[in-house]
Amino acid sequence: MQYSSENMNTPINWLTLESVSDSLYWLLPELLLTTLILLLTILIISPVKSDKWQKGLVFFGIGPYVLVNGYFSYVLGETQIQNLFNADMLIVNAQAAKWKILLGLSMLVVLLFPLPLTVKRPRGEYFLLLTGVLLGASLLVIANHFMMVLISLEMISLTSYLLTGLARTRYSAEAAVKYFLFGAAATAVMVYGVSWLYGITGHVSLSGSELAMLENNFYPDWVPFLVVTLISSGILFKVAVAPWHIWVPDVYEQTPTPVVAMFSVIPKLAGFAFLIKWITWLQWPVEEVAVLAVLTMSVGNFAALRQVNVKRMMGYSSIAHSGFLMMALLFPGDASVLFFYAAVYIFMNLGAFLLINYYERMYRIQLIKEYDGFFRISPLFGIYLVVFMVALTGLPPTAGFTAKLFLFSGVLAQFQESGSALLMFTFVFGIINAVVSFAYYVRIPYGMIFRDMHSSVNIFKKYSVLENFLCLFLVLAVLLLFFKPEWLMGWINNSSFAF
Amino acid sequence: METGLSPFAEVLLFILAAALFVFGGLITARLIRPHRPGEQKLESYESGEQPLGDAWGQVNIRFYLLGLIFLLFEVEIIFLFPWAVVFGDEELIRETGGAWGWLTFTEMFIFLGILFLGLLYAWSKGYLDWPMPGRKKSGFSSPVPRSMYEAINKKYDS
Repeated sequence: MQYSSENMNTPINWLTLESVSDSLYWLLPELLLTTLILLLTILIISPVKSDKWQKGLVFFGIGPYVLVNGYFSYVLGETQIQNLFNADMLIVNAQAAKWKILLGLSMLVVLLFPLPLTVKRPRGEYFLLLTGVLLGASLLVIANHFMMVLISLEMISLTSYLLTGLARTRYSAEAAVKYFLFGAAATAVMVYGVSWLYGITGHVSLSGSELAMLENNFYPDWVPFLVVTLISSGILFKVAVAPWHIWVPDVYEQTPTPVVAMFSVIPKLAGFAFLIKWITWLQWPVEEVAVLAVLTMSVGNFAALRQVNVKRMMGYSSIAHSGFLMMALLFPGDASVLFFYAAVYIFMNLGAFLLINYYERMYRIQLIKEYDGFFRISPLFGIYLVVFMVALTGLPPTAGFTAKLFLFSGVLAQFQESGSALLMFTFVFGIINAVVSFAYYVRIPYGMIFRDMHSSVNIFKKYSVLENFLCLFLVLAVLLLFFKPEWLMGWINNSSFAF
Repeated sequence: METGLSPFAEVLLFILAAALFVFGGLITARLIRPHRPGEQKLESYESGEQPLGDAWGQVNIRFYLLGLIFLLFEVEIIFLFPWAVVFGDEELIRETGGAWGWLTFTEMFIFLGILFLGLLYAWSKGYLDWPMPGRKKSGFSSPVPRSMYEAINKKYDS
């Protein structure tokens, strides 16, 4: 929107009061989260010291958040678009509502994770900060203007830094400071890029055709390239795409595991939900995306091979999956594969982290070799872990295979259509990477089943009902989506994921 | 207000006016003031800290916390000014039958409420008290008696 004097004098034309109240209706999920944050703050101040109330309140807030988004995705139908406040800042459609359902569901699962003891009680701030991340992610999904994008990215980032330092140990403080410094630099770079965009075009909204203005002959070739690179850095940093992935291993290793599970899912998916808008605005730069995808998955997978710490390995695994998700951005005008992969990724990744959290909490183990022989102690959890690792690799009979199948067949079809050698290269590299990833994912289950226990590990049998049920649910979801992928795909496709 | 200037030109005018304001004041003062330099006149003005030691000395981290809370309310006040202009727009209130006023009024009070809640949070956590509540003195007792330290201090105090 341009702030000419004409607009300033007659705001009533573009912003009538009816449109305000209508727009607030479509902002209901975000308003729910905001109210939840305020209520949580009141609870923290209040003399109630048990965190049961806070936990209950969070479920009571995020449950309706998911339901409201479900209702929106149903009401908005195939192509209806709500441009909130007619300001081109926030745009709600069925696709955004579905992304938000994914975010809300994964947050509900993360909230069920038991916290490690390093996080001090009362831990009201923990729930508050998690809700803050969800609010930021939710706004990022519907953001259509770089002002909004910056605010929501910062909302995710600032709460993430605090969550990283939640454990109050020396190493977690180190990870938090590193994350903060890298993140602040990434944001600064992005803001700088946006200032270039504004300086050249006078707009920072994603609805217009600023790209044409950016790429006209008035500016030398490197200007649009610079602008796009600077702006992309901020987002690609958040979703951990190489070469903006350097913060991931340290942060993943030292942060409390439930928080890591959240990091690997919510900011990443919200980032990809926005990336697809950004890439549409850039008119699908297929070559660049392909190169970044190949680079990211290779860096992630090959670095993961040599890790000894499980959480660090999962950090690299999450980088590799960012690469695969980047690959899903290669289909111009179609986000259904990306959404399917993201949904499956939530189930398998949260499941894997749930088990890592379980072993860390119960047996205080974090190294891969310490998992040796655990199958004999709890076969059920061993089987769960096998399923999740197989799914993360992308082998049948799990939904991880289905997601990768859609992905690779899509790239192949794309190659046959365009004949670009780069796509064939991406396809081949994707397959190689899937094979390489098998080598490190299988290390944990292999040691668990075929090796003997380490003498240093305390052996005792202990079941946790909550984790058992949650894992069972996630395993069933991962298996079910292999046999019935059309259930999810049908739901995805009943609203237009095309652009 | 129709000025016929582009927004960038207005910003330029602001910058020029600001520069004129600062340097104009300084130059006028220079021309008309008496010139009697003194050592005390070079010290920090009023509430500034006495410049002892070098600038890289450690500052208690709670200064930043207080500074941050203060800044929050600074920003709130700055935000209240443009709001007040829109809030009091007679034409808008007339055209909407008063609904405009109530809407902006409610919005601002929600905003203020959120900030106030933040202040309450900082207060209840004890961030506003300078001596931190609940912080115990360490139980460490030095084997070296205090008089020895004082003797050494006296010896090298010249």
